[in-house]
Amino acid sequence: MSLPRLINTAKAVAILHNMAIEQNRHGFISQMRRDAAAALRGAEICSPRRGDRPSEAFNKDDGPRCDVVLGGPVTASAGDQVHDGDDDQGPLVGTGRYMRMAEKEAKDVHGHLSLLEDLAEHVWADRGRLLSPYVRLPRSFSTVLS
Amino acid sequence: MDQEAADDELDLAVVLGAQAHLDIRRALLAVRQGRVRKRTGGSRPGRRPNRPRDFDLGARAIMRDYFGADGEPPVYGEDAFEERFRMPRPVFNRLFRAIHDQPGWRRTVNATGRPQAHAIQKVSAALRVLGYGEPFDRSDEYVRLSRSSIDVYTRRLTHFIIDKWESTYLRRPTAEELEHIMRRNAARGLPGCIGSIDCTHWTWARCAKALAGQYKDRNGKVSVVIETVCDEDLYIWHLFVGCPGAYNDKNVLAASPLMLDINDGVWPPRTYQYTLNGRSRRLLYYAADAGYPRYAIFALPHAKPDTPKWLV
Repeated sequence: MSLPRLINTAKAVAILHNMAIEQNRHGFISQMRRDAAAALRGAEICSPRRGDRPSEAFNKDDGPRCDVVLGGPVTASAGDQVHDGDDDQGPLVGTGRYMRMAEKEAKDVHGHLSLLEDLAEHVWADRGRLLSPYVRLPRSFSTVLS
Repeated sequence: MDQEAADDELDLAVVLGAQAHLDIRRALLAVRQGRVRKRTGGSRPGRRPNRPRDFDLGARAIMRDYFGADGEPPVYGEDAFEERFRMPRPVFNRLFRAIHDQPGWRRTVNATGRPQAHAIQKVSAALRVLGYGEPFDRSDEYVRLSRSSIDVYTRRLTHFIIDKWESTYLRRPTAEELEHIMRRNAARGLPGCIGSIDCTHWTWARCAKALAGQYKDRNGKVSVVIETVCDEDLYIWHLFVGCPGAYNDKNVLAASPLMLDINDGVWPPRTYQYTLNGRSRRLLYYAADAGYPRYAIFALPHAKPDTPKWLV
């Protein structure tokens, strides 16, 4: 089997896998558990359920959807003006300078360590709630953890 | 009007001339190199006749086993169907409805007036090969198709699936989907996470000898690496296949189109803000394992988790 055929086979299998996931994702145990935990807390359920509108459950139509794919030139959000690059307020989106800055930001090791630190603090502070869908703890232990 | 007609005739003459020139060159080349193509197919003296496979038998067996025939319920239930075809019945039905009337898949009648194989046999045989990774002649006795036919239909099926559904099922998430993914990940304690990234090795059984050294992985097997990004339901949003098995996660990432987009700043979008530990952030990230570089775009496990906080 040649390499291009291998690649095509992998792509086709991945597409079929995604179709199967799209069909079955409302019945996954992890989602049932999380929904049950959310229902106990009275929180909003964010998992797709059978009968949801297509947009909520990621059901797709057959038409190409590439026109709405994110990832084009980054647009400015509120309070973040895009400048023409003449001043020091930031590079123009899509320019070489912007790409260098984006690459630097994405590959920043300090940013990575800061992210890990913040994630650990975030998860540790909320560990009782986050673990509840996956482990069934005695009420007293949950109280201590949270 | 006359001028247009003359132009059209001239265009046609140019095209025909070029085609004739190409045919002559190809024939001369074939003769010079002694590569006269062997005649295949068709009836000729000395050729083994086609096996009387009885295509109807194969179609009937599949219909009886999985779809029910003559008013009888199917022999195998939904669990067996999903196990054998590796997909739920609605997905199979969708695939079959899309493909059964396509040229090359619909049932035809050959020159002797005999009906050929039914589309259900072709699809079933190709899905067995894809689902089980079995040789092409493995299901010959069941679906009643030859090895070469199953080879052809497997290739056609992969091309059909890619042509029809790649733009729908193998693409980046839209803005709405990305928000949904982030909302669900935030509920799991990972705000700002847009998926998990990892690589796996896929054994390449019949690799060319010339490539065997390059594609040999750390276990000594010849393989290609598959890089995927998926969400918590294992829905694949990004697939990159083809790197040699000798590559590790970092090498594959360096060659991946995903990293090219990250370097160019076109992905991930910087239009979302999330709060983590009271700090506002804009750079979304992937959850990854320790094989990935320590970039701000990846959340890796801690290198030395020595406190309960890092272990959680």
